[in-house]
Amino acid sequence: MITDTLATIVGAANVVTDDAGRAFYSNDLSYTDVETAVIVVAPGSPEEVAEVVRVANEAGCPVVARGGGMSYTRTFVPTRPNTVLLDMRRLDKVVEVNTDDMYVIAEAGVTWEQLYLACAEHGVRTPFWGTLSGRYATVGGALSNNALFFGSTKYGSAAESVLGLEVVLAGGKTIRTGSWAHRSGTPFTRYYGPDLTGPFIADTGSLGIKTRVSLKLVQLPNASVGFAFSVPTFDASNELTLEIAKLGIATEVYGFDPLYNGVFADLGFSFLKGVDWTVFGIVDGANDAIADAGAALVRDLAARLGAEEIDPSVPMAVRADPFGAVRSVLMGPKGEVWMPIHGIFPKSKAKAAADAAVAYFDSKADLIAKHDIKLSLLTLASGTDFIFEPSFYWFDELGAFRLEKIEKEWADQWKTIPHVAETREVALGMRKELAAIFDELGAVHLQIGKWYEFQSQVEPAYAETLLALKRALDPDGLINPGSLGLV
Amino acid sequence: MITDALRAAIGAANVIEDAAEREYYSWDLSQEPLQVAEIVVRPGSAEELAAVVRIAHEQGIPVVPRGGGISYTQGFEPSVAETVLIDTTRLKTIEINAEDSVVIADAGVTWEELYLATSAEGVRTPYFGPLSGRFATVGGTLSQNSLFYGSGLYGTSADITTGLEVAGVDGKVLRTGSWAHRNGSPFSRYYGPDLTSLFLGDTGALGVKTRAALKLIPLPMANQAVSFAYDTFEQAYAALHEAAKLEIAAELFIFDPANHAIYRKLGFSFLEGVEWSLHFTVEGIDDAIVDASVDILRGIGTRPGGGGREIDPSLPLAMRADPFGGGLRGFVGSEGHVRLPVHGVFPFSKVPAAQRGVVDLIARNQDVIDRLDLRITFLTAITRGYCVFEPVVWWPDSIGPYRARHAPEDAVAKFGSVPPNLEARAAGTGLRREIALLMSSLGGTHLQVGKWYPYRDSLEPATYETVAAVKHAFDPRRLVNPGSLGL
Repeated sequence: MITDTLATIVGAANVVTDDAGRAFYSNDLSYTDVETAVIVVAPGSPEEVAEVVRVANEAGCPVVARGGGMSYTRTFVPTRPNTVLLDMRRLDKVVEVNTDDMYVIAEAGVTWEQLYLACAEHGVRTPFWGTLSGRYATVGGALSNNALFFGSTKYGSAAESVLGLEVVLAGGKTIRTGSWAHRSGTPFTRYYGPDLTGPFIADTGSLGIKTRVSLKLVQLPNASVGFAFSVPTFDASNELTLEIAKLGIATEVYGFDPLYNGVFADLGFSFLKGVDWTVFGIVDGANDAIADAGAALVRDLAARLGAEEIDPSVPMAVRADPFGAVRSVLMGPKGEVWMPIHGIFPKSKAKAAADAAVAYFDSKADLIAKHDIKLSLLTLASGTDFIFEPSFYWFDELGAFRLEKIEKEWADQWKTIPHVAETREVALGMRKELAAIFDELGAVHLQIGKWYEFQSQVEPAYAETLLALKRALDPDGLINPGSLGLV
Repeated sequence: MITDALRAAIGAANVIEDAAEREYYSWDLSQEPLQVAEIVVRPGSAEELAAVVRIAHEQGIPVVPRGGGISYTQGFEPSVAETVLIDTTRLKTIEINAEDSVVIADAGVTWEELYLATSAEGVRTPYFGPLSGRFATVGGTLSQNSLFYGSGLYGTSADITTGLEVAGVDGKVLRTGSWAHRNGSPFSRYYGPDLTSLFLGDTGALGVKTRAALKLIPLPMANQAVSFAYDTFEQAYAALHEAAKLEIAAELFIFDPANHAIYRKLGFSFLEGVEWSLHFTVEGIDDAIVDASVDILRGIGTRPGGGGREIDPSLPLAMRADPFGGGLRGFVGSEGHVRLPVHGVFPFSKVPAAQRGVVDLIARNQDVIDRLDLRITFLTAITRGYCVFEPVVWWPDSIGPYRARHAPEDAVAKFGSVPPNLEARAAGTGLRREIALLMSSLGGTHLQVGKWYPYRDSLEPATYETVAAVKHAFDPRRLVNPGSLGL
């Protein structure tokens, strides 16, 4: 039996075969149907990953890698019987922090929080340095799906901080990319001949399984200055966010809506009471003079655009405990389920996207009220691009994964919230409809997984080329089948 | 016949069969010519280029794309005589979208043309061209990768690319990134697997680029430069290394004593008595930020015990004042030497060993170097996060068809009819190859791999097999630039 062989490879203690355990690992946060994995294995090294993939693929079993589990788009949920699910979290070593050559090598299961702490000890960090869910989200998961937040306005998405990858391909062959593939090389640059790193980034795990990654390092800033502005409308918030981003000096710029400002007002940021729309961010610098000069430019710009400056303690608090907001990235303030959807737009389409979402929600106002669904409209600039993330909140059965991640006192209080089938159906249906509206506007997405439409959105020439690449790397379709619509 | 089909597709005047013209288009600056293409075509649009590729493919004839011709590594030299060489320099359209911070440039646009067009609208690409930007094209550069202007902050040409349009062997036009979205525009490189990457640095082996989308930033409002002198390379490099890690300078480079001798003759008299010099260009959105950055660099450059003293910064300032004029001098030395660069791309820590290795190699060959009047100069330059160490080997020789057409008139008048010096050429090309192999043995990688650098032999077999599998998937009949990358 293949399960016995796999247990021999990873050790019996690192195998899950019981029904509840397999279901726990096979489900993500999207409340959608899954094919439960036949076995969950937790390899402890890149070599064990390669061996698991070899054995599984030889037996004709698909393999799927799972990182921290923080997926809302079915990225790691199995779609075929006899799937071997790899829980990657035991690959948790930060292998090398090289401050001479400014790269860090980490195993795929390292979390962003762990990576940040390991690097900060040496006075460095990665340019993109984590998601708000970075306590659980792993480096491998984030690079497979791409990710945004800390560092993203200055340095872009997780993809743009990568220097090289070690990937196990279908059948168990291991390759390295960029200068890491040089026989005498180290992973300091992504570019040596055709850049093979690229196809594996944001592939949502469809082309191979990442085992180790090399990320670029930058010096920790010696000065960080927060800024915060209140603006009267959603459009004004988006305009200000994207104009600040264009200056190229802010490390993060993001916008809160009335719902979020209300939540933060209740958390003690009382100056946000009654404030509707806000724009927050940070300017980092190599010294105070640089950070102060940058922040002054941001304030000048905001003043020119008519924004009112307010207390900057929200962005400073987010920075002070960057990965502490686990509960708020999993659920609403009263234990509601949180379900995001996003579109990424060029600046010229930001207003159309915002208008379309607001109009859609207006058209559904009755249904939203009937089911007590709440909405938020979060925004972020990644580089100069507009990241628009509307979210739905409703009361639903939280499930084992969410309950395990939050503080016990809250878990005890909220674990009895029941599943209301009609409410869930309405909310999930709206999420799909909004995605279709975004796609009409040319939105692109991170974390495409098996949820966002992809094959139908790209031009045929692109779809054919991607399929040719998939066939070249995974001829039998045994790596995360169904991801990106590739089978 | 194919000639008729090509004439019908792009006009008879743009199908070149004259032997001397074909030789001009087929040979690069390497002094190591391969074959002369049977036909040279000059399509006038992306559509015409795609038609050329389709026609050649139908006849089973290889195509090779050629940009500005500034190749030192046989990048576009045909490996077989039966080749349709595609001169892309008539593809000149530039579409600037300042709102979305992106410019779409045809493959044949030069970096100088792009810089002039964008700066007229107050914007610029972050990396804005190689020293040879008067001739080097966007398409050629993205195929080979390059660095210099802006690279300290923004990296290489690969780092600023958000999407590509590529004519595949079957004439099918592929767009990548968000450009592949049916309703999209090329503002984001990341939408599913990053296929843009595969075509960056592919030396034209995977498809023919017709258009590229590049990022835009606001034109910096403040610019300064600061320079230092040192007695030894090690001293200059220690300061360069420390400064490079901060990522606050746009250009960072070291000149050697032999280069100073050349520049002294051009009027930079302050270089008298300077052994090694280190130069920084700093740019920013206002004076306060730039001043503060210059202060930091001054502290590094003149650190007590570091051996540095500040000198007149007019060398980097002169380069910035005429960024693409200096490249002209690179073709032929004032005594009729051809000059051929050879480089290694290294992590910061390995540069001193590479420099020592090259110095030792030169010492071992000193007799031949003296006897045949060979010369060697060194350029050491930073791109964000790593270093390019580039010795330039000079020898007296015939200047060849490319230099004869593009070098300054006085140089051509003086040296245009110098006969081949085959002994010096053998010694010069041989020394250049030895330097390349030495760099590779030290883990150095290469831009502009072409058909010259030891790419295949330097790669781990598993990775090379993957590159070959991708090539086979995209170009099963090997009709796109065969021989490139050792494929």
